[in-house]
Amino acid sequence: MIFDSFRSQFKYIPEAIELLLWSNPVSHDTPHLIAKFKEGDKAAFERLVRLYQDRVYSLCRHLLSNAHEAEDAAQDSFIKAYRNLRHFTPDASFYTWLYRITVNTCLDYKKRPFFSSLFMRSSDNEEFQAWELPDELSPERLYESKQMGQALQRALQKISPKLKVVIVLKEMEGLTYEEIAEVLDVSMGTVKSRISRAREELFVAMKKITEQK
Amino acid sequence: MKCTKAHKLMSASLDGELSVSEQELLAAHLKQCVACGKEYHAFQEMHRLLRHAQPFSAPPYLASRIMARLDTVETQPFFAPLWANFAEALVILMVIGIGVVSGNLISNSMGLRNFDNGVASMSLEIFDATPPESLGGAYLAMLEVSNEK
Repeated sequence: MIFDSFRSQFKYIPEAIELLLWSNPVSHDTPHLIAKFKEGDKAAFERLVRLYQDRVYSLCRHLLSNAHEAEDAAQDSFIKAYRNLRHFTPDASFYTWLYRITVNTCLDYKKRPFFSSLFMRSSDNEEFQAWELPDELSPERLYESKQMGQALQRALQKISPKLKVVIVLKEMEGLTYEEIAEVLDVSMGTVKSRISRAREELFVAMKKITEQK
Repeated sequence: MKCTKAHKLMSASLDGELSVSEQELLAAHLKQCVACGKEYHAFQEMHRLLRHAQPFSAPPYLASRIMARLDTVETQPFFAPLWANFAEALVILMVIGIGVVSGNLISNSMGLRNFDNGVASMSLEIFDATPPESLGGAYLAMLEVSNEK
């Protein structure tokens, strides 16, 4: 009985350790998992999926703004990664390679048939984006920030997909200029130029939205 | 510094990409230019909000769904998709070609050499006339009578 009680308290520890390992892909051995996959170990790919699914899914949600489409896009991205992983070379960064697949998949989703967009209002596809606002803001400031957050979310839907991608990768995903250049396979100068244009377009779009109100 | 130059530096300033001298020049311009100052302030607010967008967590079932889908996906050789697309078109063309060739052969055997063979292969002229004592023949005879009237 004492042993059962002891065992029941500790049965969750292996799971907790696994979660801790999986939640931090940097510390986990991605190259080792890739090598194992190339040897035919499919379970290694499942571990890669669990390591990177949050980042891939979050990127899809930010780019597509729709949970259902983001799920589909995330699934498609991992399936494409599965098919092409044997060609992946270890000298490249795995997550920028995976991000490149994800971005291209999301951009393909954006190019869906014209007629499907005729029957969809621009607001039909939008889902609420939560913002982490600091607690120490005054009520007025908090209200202003929330209003601005809503306007920003709507403005993000209005800029071109190409510019939205760079601003999401830079501001929301926290990638550096070099990493974005690697993901998009463009020069750093192009990245900086697109980020600058994206910010200007967002500013103009937000101005129009706030003036309409 | 002119406003056009200041605009070009604003984005880089937000990302900490300016040199000290460029940063000082921009700051001096923003102090004197109200419009640019407002725009830069808006850029800073956007930058701050975007950085604080909450990340999304994948649904708990996502990994299982992906692995389940992978069970039905075989890694295909590179050329398979291309061949699959061309194969369909080739089969359709082959069926049409066989139809035309067999029609040719039939028309040749029927002795319809005065027709263009390609046309003959698709013409109803190669078929025998309907026997008059048959149901079809009686129907055609009735039609002829009604046309004459």
